[in-house]
Amino acid sequence: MNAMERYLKKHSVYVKQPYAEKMMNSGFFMGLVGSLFFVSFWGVGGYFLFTRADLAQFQGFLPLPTLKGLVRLGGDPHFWSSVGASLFRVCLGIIIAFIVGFPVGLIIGFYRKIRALAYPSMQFLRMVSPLSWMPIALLVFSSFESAICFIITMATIWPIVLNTSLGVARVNPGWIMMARNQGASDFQLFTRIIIPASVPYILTSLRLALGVAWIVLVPAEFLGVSSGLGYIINDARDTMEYDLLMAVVLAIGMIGFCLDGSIQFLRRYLNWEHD
Amino acid sequence: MTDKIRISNISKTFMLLGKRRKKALGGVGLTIMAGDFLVILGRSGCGKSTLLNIVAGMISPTDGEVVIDGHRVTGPEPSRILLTQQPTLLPWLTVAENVAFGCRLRGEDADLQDRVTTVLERVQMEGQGGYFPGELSLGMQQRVCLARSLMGDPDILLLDEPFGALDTFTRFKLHEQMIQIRKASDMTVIFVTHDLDEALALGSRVVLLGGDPGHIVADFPVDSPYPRDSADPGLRKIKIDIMNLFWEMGA
Repeated sequence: MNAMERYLKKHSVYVKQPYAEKMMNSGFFMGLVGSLFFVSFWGVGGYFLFTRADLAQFQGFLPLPTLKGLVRLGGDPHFWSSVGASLFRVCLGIIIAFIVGFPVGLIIGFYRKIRALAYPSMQFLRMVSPLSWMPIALLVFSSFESAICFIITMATIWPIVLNTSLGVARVNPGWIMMARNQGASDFQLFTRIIIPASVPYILTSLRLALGVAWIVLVPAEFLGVSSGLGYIINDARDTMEYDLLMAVVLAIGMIGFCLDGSIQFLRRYLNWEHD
Repeated sequence: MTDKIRISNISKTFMLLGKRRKKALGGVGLTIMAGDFLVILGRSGCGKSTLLNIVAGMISPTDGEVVIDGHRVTGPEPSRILLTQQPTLLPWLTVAENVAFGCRLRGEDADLQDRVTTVLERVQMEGQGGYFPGELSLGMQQRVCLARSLMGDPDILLLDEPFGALDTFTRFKLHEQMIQIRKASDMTVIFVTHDLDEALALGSRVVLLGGDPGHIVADFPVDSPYPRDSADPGLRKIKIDIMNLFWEMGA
């Protein structure tokens, strides 16, 4: 520590940030407050709605029965095997979509002519709701499992293709010029410049794909399977166990939140843009 | 000295939107000797960078040819490194990895770590190999780019206003380093700038590019020893001559 630093330390006044201000600046705290507000809204709104005589049968949707249902679900092995089955379907669907979509995105992003060729068909297919593939999937695939996987793949392939191609198209041309100048082959250009440069976009594409997959999963699992979160919801509706139904909805939201968090965690370590 | 680069009657026409054409260069001819430090001086938009990119093999001329050591230029090569005004460091690699980038591409891995250390010392960036480009100032980034350019011991160094975005003090520092680097090697340098003082501080020869389309207006050999004193009568005479030519061209 030099003389100037010692002087500053001795004479400067350390302004302590007020506790309330510190809490307001904390993302975690604000998130917690927002969640509490949401639960209160759910409780108050639900109370006014479901205490009416004609809707009393739906009291299972209120927070307390839902929480009890969640505890009951936590002790049910079938619930955990369903979570496993749903996660497996989502992961398999995204992996297949990534295996197909990532190279397609790279090629479309890098070669302008191929992009022009593929763009109209891609936009057309992207706009088709993934759930509208359901009847076709049931006709084409022999098992419900394959049909669900196909639907998730169809839903997740577009964010992967489009974001990857966007990432490639936006690679700094100066980097490509520099690499060519240093003697890079086409293959090296992809592996050393284009793919690493597109990592932020690829991670975003995976985050979007995960969100879409998780949304599509529940209706897809309405298709004749006997496991999965969508199946439990359907089952709870049929047996009129609304507390359980709401508990599964809550569990789906919580698992989705954790999955998104895991991708965010991955982004923090793999994304060079935070520098 | 022998002929290193022969630029013969180079013209370049760019196609613009709406089928319009813009002729950037018209009939540029120049011979550059091995070991020359040639500075191409001219106003913005006179075709300096276009000419440099043609020599680098990044773009092809509409007419004419560039011949280096008897071989016609058909594309970029690691023996002819282009350094641009904006640093092109890869943000996901450290300084040391950026410097070693070209050698790794070409599989020149022998003593790589030692070579990186030496070349970083040459640009006065020793001990900074672990930083990421985003953690460095623009001047430091440009020095790392210079280090990367020097790694493969290129025959020809092509510098396109490399210090244009830097402050005066950093530029002076980099001028000194350029002079040291040039003294330590026999490479041929083509340096593009619009700064007359910079041209006279560095060049062993200053070529004035001007007109529309761009062509060689004048060619001045500069014999003063390095480091140069701006009060040197020889340099002052060249400066006045160049200024007069600029006025005559309608600056």
